[in-house]
Amino acid sequence: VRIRDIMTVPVASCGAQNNLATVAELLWRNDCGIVPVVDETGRVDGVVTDRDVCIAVGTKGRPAGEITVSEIPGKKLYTCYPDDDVSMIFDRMSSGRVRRLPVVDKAGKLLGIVSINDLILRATPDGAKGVSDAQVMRVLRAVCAHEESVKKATRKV
Amino acid sequence: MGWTRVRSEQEIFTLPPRATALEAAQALAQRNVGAVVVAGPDGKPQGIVTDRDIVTRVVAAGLDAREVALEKIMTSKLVTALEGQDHPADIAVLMSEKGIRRVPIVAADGRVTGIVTFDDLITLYGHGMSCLSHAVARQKMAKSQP
Repeated sequence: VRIRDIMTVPVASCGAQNNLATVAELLWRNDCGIVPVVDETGRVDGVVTDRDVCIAVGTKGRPAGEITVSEIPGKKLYTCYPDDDVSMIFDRMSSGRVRRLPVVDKAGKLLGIVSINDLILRATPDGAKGVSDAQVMRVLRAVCAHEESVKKATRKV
Repeated sequence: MGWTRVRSEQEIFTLPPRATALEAAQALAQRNVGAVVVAGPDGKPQGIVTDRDIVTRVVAAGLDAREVALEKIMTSKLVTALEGQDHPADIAVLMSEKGIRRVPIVAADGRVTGIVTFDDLITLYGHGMSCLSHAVARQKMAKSQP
């Protein structure tokens, strides 16, 4: 199973110059929790989540309409290609501890998005549709691990 | 198995109904949690507000987070579990039936004492589920060998 078979298209996106009120409206209208940030050529620069918007409003001391996407602290971007095998995203979501990956072409341009929900909905006990319950559970365990638990485990190593 | 809290290091955090969305957003940022339980002076939960609620019900609606009280945006049809009585599996069933990811825990007197999240249950059950799937795989391997 390829990513293109399970990814969501089209996907809403925003630019670094957009304000967070605009992003919040995108999140609400599209009933999604993440919006990829693209440059003027359509290349993905990052992502903004509903939590990012909430935290920015809580910490910046300004209304959402006066905070731009570029002010949100950058974090490592994890992406995948449409022709990647679905098994690849298990590792990428687990290691990055992210629930969604923007799907990009070789030039980095946004094509769609794939979320852990897409995996959950496709999973079967025997993996007949390319995703097994056990695989999904392993990804969920990695993604859901509390920050403190991850830090403790890292310290032990 | 009775139980009190899956995530012992996380103290339950509440805000009063008149607290603002901005105060809630600040608390969510400081405490690195995704939801705040709204409780009255008696400690009884009245509702819950998540980070997404603040984004979709305040920011996307064009409201000022400094002026919106939590009682205006909270989800007040609250599903709770009873401390020391409900099992984590009962809470998983509640989440499944109600389509929710967070369940506040209340004591017998109705005061909120904790919260259990979807992530908590995955962390709790994930290892066991992985072990069970390995057990099945090993059994199949053993059977297939001559």
